[in-house]
Amino acid sequence: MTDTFQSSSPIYSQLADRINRKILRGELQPGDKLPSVREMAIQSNVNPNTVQRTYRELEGMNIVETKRGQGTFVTENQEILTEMRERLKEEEISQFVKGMYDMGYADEEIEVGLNKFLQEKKGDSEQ
Amino acid sequence: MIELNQVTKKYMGKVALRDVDLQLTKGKIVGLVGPNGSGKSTTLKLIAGLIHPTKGHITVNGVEVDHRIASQVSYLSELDEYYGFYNVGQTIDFYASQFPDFNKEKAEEIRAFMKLDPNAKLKHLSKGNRGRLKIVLTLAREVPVILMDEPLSGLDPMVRDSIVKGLISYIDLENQVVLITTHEIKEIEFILDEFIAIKDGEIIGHHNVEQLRTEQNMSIVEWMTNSYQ
Amino acid sequence: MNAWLSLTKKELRLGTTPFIIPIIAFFLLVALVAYIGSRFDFASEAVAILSFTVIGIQVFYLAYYLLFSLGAEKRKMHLWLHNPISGSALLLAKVAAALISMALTFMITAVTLAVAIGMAENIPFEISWSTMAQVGMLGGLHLFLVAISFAAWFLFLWMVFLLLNRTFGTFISFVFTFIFFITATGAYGWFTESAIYDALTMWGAINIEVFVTEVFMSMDLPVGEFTAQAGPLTIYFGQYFFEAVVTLILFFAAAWMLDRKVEV
Repeated sequence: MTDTFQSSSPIYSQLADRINRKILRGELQPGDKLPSVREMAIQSNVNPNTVQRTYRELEGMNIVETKRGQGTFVTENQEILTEMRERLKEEEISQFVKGMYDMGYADEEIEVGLNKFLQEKKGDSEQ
Repeated sequence: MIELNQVTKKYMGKVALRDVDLQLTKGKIVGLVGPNGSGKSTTLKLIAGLIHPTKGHITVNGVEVDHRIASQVSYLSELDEYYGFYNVGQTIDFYASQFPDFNKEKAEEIRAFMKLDPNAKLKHLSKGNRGRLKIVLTLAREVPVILMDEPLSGLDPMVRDSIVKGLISYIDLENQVVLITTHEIKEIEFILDEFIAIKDGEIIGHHNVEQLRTEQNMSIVEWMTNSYQ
Repeated sequence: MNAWLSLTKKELRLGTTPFIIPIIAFFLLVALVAYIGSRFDFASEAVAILSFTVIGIQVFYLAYYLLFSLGAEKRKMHLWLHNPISGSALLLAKVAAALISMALTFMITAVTLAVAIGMAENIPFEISWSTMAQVGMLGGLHLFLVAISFAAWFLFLWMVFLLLNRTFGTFISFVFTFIFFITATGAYGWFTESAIYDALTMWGAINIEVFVTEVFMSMDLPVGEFTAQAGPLTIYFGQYFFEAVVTLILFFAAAWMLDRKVEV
């Protein structure tokens, strides 16, 4: 089995997440056709009902649209994709920050640490 | 679609199932989980009409069941017995002749997907391939109820994977309900809509898998670890 | 109907072994008897006697065949019973396969008998072919009727055995079924002696005296002695009817048990 899912959150949302990330990385381009529900289910070894729900959720967020009789496509609306990009960034940052808080770091420490990390990384790639 | 009403099953005075109430509707893949000897197989055989309740009633689509409910139920046994004089193709043909709803093209498709040689003698089939053949025979029927008793047990990971993929590919979820027993939940956890946990002949939980994750942040395995101590 | 025919075909496949074995055994016996008989210049006669005996034994053929067939199915009950058709149709497919096998076996043995009689020189009586055909037909018919009645008894007992086998081990179930069988046949035997049985069955008299006389004459045997011993030569249609009813009751009782009581 190629894919596994975390047990703490619903599979449909984890699957939606994966699709979103694929879009961000450019593996799925605006206007690209997503696999059919059945194909997606087979690819990821999940229940077709789950995939159905994932597509419904993405559709609700206007990230994909279903064209009658043709299938489900990634939206070509750049505004929505930019918005999603922003939203996922914020989600990830808030996760990170929450983790830092849990370990008892203060805001300045986080800021300094993050800047330093990014600087060093930049330095690494420049050499 | 499937309804068990206060069903008790005793074997020689020993209780295998006690006062079970259960309702299953179509469009779902349901796992029946629990340790060996907890009453999983008994439940499936009861629904298939192959054994009879000591008390209570079982109906499928409103019909009180006996073995003739096979017209509405496709049952995969955990046993590995077939007619040894047939080969794979002949076994499929025989099934096709016995069940009017048997879709031969679909059977052919699943057989090819499972990479089964139609000319292979059943006597000489490996355990894995017999497991695959069972899937072909069970899923090729266009039938409202599919019952599968331990379809993965004792098979190696490759076979299990092909069986899980076969399940996802060939179940007609709009019209069918699938009830699968297993004691290896991990393999099929992601393809279940619901699971029913059974312990010492009693149902101790019936949950929607996604709901359990949303509300209690738990997978089936975690839920079971908590509930079966 | 098509489903049932396919099922019957499967039953024939399943019954290949119990079909072949008796035929091979018969031919081996024929060869053996002919060989030993030829030393005494008695080969055809010996084969005729053997064939005649083997034909007689065939009253048990259906029960034997069904024993094998149901025995093979015992390990596959979930497979056999997982079928939309009724228990009676399931059983009837087996009976049909058994009857086909019996008909073929009967033909083989009957032809052997006829050939042996034709070749025999030491038969102490003359018998015309037409009489022989008549006797053969009548005998064959009764052979099949009795075999069918035995088959119904067997199916009934097998279901009783399967029910007992849910609770007890195979051996104890067999013993109980056997005791049940002895008791049932004992009771049935007692019943056939009773006045009620006579009242139920002694109607529709058919006189077979003419026929018997003809047969005995053609064999050059003293008819008078036989009739004196056997009493008036009358058979009753009522008896056949009664046996048929009992057979049907046993069969449908077996089918009912299979549908409602037997478990895999």
